[in-house]
Amino acid sequence: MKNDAPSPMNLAEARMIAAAATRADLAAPGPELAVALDALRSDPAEWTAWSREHQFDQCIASALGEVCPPPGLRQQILAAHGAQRRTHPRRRFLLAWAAGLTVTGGVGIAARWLMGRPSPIVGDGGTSLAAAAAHFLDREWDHAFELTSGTLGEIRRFLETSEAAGSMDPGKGFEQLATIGCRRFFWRGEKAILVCFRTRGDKAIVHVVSVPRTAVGADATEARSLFREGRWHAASWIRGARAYVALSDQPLDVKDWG
Amino acid sequence: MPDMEQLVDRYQAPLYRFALGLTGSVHHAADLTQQTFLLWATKGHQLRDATKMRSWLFTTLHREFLRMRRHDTRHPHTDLENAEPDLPTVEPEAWSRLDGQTVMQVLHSMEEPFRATLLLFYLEELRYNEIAEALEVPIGTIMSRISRGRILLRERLQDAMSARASDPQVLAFPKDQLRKRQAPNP
Repeated sequence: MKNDAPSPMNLAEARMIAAAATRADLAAPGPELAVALDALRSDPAEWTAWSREHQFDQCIASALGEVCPPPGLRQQILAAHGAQRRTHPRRRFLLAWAAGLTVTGGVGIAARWLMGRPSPIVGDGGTSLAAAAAHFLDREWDHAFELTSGTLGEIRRFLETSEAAGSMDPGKGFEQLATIGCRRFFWRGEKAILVCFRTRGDKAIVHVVSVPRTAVGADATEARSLFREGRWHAASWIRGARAYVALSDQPLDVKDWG
Repeated sequence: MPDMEQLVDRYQAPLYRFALGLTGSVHHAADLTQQTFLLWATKGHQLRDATKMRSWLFTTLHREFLRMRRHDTRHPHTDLENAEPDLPTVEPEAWSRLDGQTVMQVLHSMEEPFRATLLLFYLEELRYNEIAEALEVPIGTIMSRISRGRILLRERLQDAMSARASDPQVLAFPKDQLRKRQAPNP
């Protein structure tokens, strides 16, 4: 166990420790700094030299603190960030998803169960799917698409001709929307599909994840459910043999998939 | 991890100050600051230790700065001996009259190893070990640079203040005047 008693400190050590202290450190000195300052105080010449140096440092730090970023930089950064998110979909989203979904999704479900969080209509399976999707969308910024395409028809053809992952038929409204791309992955041992859509007027991106209906539990219903999943606007529904979850950072419009 | 808006609110100013001191240009400083946040947006998730976030931001900005000026073949990288403890006599009250622009100009006129180190030191965002991490040099080098850099900075600020006192029309310090003292050889 560490001995709290301060060890003897020579002036060279004290000088070094005191010189490294910031204003915040000096406002509330820790044990080592306190000993260093005491050591310097014991030698008037050292103390004067350090005080003078410290005063100089404070003046420089204060003067630098007067320099302000140009007006508008904050908005410029946030706007660029928004544009980047719209134009560079998250490429590695699914790699991380495939690697960690089972574990983190399981933890998420358990936590939500314990917290008694209300479930959307798709049921526990849908909830966990939305939670897991939101979890990874929040953490993975640049997932790579297997196919980049502007239409759902092309994506559907790709899915049907490549290794079977199931069809993607989220609703008629989605046929009208431009797509960005798609990826396949495994979720709970089932093949899942992610397709990213652009809404009309390019106002937002909607991430739609589809899994076999059997993967989301027997109590899943066909009614659409709108809810919030973290910072995401989310929706879940069943259509045919598949369950769907949509996430967007903008409010979802059910007319889009009516 | 904080969201982007919180991050920008907290670190925009110190990062901008660091960038301005490095580049000496308001436009380049704004670009570097913005670029740093955009890199955070794409790569920040790889950082598993939230306590390293500050260092990550300053490291990234510094790397971007070095990348930006890669075409410049002159990269003086001087590891200095420990500075002598005796400092030139100064009038303490004179320093309190310094303004941000003057300090920034003089810092910008300093040679690269001192410039980045002193900027990070005086921004008071990072500790010695974090500055060493951000600039990717040993901590002993950082301590040496700060110690020696303080002396150089003091000398140049004195020169700048003298020049301004003798010619009140001088609003900005001429580069040749700021650079008349060369960095000591290692």
